[in-house]
Amino acid sequence: MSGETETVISFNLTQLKQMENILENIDAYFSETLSAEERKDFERKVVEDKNFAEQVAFYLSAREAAKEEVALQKKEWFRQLLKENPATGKVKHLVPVRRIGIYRLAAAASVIGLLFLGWYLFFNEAKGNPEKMASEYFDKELKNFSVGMGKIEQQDSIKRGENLYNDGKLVEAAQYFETMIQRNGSDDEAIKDAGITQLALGNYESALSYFKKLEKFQLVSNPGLFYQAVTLMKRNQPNDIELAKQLLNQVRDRKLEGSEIAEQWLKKL
Amino acid sequence: MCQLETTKAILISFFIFINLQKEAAHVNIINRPLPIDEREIIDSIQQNGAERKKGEERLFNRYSYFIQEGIYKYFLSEEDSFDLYSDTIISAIEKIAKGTFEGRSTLKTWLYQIFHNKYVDLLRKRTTNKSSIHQTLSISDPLFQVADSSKTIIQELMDKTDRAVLRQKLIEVGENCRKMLMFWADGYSDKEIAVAMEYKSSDVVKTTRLRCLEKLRQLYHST
Repeated sequence: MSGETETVISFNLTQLKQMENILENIDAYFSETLSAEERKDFERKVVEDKNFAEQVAFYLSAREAAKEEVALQKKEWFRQLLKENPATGKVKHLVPVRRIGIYRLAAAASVIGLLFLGWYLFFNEAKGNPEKMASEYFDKELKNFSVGMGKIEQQDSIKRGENLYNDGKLVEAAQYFETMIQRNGSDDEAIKDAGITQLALGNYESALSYFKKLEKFQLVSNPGLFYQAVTLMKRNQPNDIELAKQLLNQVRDRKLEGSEIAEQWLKKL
Repeated sequence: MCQLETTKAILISFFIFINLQKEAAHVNIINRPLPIDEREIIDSIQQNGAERKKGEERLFNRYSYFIQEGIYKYFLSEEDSFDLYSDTIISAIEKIAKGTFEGRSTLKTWLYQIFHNKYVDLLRKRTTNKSSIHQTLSISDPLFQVADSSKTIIQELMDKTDRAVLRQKLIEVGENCRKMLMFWADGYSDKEIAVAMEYKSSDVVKTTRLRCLEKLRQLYHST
């Protein structure tokens, strides 16, 4: 063999070996046998070396082409199978029948429940929710004391208590008013404010007690009965609404403070 | 507690109960074992050689009525419906062999999902009038694992490959190489190919396979 031929053969073998190494590297990448570092190097090489990228593309294209050949072969085989075992003409329902009965039931129950709830709330709204009515009244009329309420000689001391109430210091305000009442049991303003403060605190029994005391005073305008009704409606315990209605009837009939509101409420209760 | 609050609490409890029921049912679905015959088919396909072929045959025959479904429900021709079903089975075999079928649903339900998805792909191809569309890579596609920066470059180069020529060269590369490359493309490991083609070891298969690939490349570029 001439030297030239040997060189050519040697060069070809070297080239072949190089190609095999490249293919081995590509194969290892797609077989996921490379380390994370090696994978990064591989991907970097794809971006930087066009020749390498072409090798990778060919590797994958060859696989795809072979896959298509496999698919063709399989289809031919399937055709044979179909001839030997023809599919039945009967079309079966393929849509999976899920057992959704329980969910349908639940959904229907939810809808019915929501409809009932809506009717109930609507009915209650139309009928009048005593608690809501009382709360709305409280928020509108009794949440803050206006400055200057009460008799002139009482203003300085009562104002202090009312300021505490308006500042949200309800407990302190309650104590303040109680102290005032203990000093002067006839202080109707202090009794009224004490009752309102207890109502704000949610101490309904105490509030009722103050308002019952207030009721006994002979005043030009006495809200004692009305405030008792408001307290009962807010508390809303069994029998409270019935009692409140009775009180509201009295307020309306005797035209006491709150009689207009009492009339409206009685229509709804 | 006022009436509204009570009602709210009841409703919330009710919805929590319903969700718990759904959760329990879902868990039941996941944990429910496959029917025995479906399990047998899957196990066969995951074997080598003759056992796998048996499994593939059983799978094809068992649900071949899908072809009729394609004709009557999707208004496909018999040939198109057959192709659709065949592609479904081929795809299913690949996934089962790789172990990516999780058994969250029955085999039938899962197959039908593939069948329907392929039908949708077919419709898309027809309506857009393109012969090949870049579909979303599935997790089983080799290109899926490539980093994005490299993926685009490789995809562009692959698009330039003349697949028809390549398939022709696959015949010219020789029967042994063709068979080996087809086993490889079909998802057989080197070890499985060694058994199927009676090679000494998986290492020998690997070396032979890579040489076949190189030979194919040279044939392709010689045109």
